[in-house]
Amino acid sequence: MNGSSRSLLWLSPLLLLAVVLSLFLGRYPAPYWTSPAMLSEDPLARQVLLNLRLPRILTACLLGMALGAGGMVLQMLFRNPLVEPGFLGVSQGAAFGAASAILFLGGGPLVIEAAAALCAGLGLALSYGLAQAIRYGGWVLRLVLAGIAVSALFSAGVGILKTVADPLAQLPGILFWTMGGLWRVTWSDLCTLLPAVIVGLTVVYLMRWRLNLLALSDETALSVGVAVGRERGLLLAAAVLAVATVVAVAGVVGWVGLIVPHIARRLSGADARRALPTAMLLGAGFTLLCDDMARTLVAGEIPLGILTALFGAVLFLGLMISRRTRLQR
Amino acid sequence: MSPPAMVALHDLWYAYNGSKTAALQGLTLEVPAGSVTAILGPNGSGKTTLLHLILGLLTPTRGTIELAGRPQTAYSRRELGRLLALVPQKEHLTFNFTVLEYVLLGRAPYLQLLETPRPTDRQAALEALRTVGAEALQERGVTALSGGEQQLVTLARALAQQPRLLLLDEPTAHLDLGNQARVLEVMRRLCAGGVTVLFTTHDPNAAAAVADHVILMRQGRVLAAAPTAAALTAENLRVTYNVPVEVAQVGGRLIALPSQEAHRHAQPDDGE
Repeated sequence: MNGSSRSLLWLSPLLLLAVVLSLFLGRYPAPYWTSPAMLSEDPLARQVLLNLRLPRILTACLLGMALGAGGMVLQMLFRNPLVEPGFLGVSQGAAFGAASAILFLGGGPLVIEAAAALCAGLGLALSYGLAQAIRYGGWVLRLVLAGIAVSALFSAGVGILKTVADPLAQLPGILFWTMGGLWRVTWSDLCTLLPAVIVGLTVVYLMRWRLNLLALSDETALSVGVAVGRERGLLLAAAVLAVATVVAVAGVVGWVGLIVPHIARRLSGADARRALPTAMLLGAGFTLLCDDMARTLVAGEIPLGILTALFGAVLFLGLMISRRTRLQR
Repeated sequence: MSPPAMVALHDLWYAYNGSKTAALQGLTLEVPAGSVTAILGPNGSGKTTLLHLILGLLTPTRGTIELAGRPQTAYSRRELGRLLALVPQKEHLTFNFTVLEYVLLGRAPYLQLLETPRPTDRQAALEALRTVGAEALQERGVTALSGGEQQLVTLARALAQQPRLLLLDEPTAHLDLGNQARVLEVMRRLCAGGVTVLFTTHDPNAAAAVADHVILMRQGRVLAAAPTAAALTAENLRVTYNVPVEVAQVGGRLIALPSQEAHRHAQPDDGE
């Protein structure tokens, strides 16, 4: 076993430890730490831990896994290390779909999920189609430009929906989408999103070696016997399904899908056989830590999307700057 | 009696979308099995298009392609991946795989959709690296390789497919003299091991150095297809490149050079 497989070995117990510790982090009954002894002494504490914190912690992990895996899939399929679901219209598309469902379709959880998934796929298709039509720059740049434009279109759409939404009944639900957060998550939310996320992530995980093949040029991938169009479509559908489903519950949570695959490749190497599971574990850990801060640091709730953007952007800049020193390696 | 053909083209036409003239215009030719065959011609003569058609990346507008005696359309994508392999002009690699991880990708046609490489695939990949003399590179990152190293590693990835037909697109175009010689020597060795080698090149001397057969192309048509010495005549090369060429024998090998008076005879290259 070489050094790069070792990161997987220590990441799994570390994540498990973070999950257990997170359970005792919070602001009840006093800020920051709930003593494990309270579990048997205080029925309310037991309620808070098991019915509020635990589903939220597990959802944070799933959200991070889906975003980390989704980012890895998009980066490899598009041969572009600078894309993530939030940059390609997937997240904003999902937010737009969810906001439309809240406004026009009654807003049942399954309807929101379906509308989010549909518009997420639409956002990705639009970004991809536009990138091929743009007449400026190389492939990496064109895809980023198209993604920014499509995301902005969907954001504008969400903005318009906000102005016509009922300020009491509908607006809070829509507003929540634009910044992301997990404070409303219940066991039943978790159960609704679980099947789709598990299906999506399982397909991606099982096909992880194929990701390496699809990261080659189409010409080469085809010559080694890969049915390029079909396999790419399958992986994209699986990744978008997982991402859109978690976004339907958590709102737009950016930057996780961008930085997590970069760090995963640093730790495990580029081969997706190891980099993909590493990205899933790292994504879960990163999102969980951000969500712990979101609910613990201050008396109110800090929107999760703001924290992931803050830490994500700083980490990203750090990686991009230090990359120069590693080029010779 | 000539050996059976590995590639047989019959009246092959191909036109790119939106292009007025066809890139390939009625090619009929055979590539003998177990030989090294060079496709020689100026820029835009249709060499790469021909490789992409054999590969199945493009679909002919008209005509048929037979591979090892079977119509190309009768093969599945995976079967084609086991029959033939491609060394592209330039392999664009975005992610820094190790050389061994990259060469392992050549095992794809032997693996099911959800399978990951097995120990036997690893052996085959290492064997391919040994064949090109690059096993020392196996732990290096592919994006940090020099041009010559990258070409050898790409060749190893193609060999990991254990193909019966190896297609190479301008294999020596960006290499220095030493690396050119190394790549040509590997091609020669593969052929001795029973692999049919078909490569495109701008350079008549690369063709003269390794090819048993030469196909001369110009503007989507075949000008000549013959054993090397018969094909590489001064007259054939003059017609192919539209410039006077001198052919000489040096140490038993053919050398082609634009003739001294080339500039005086130069005329706009408008083809026919």
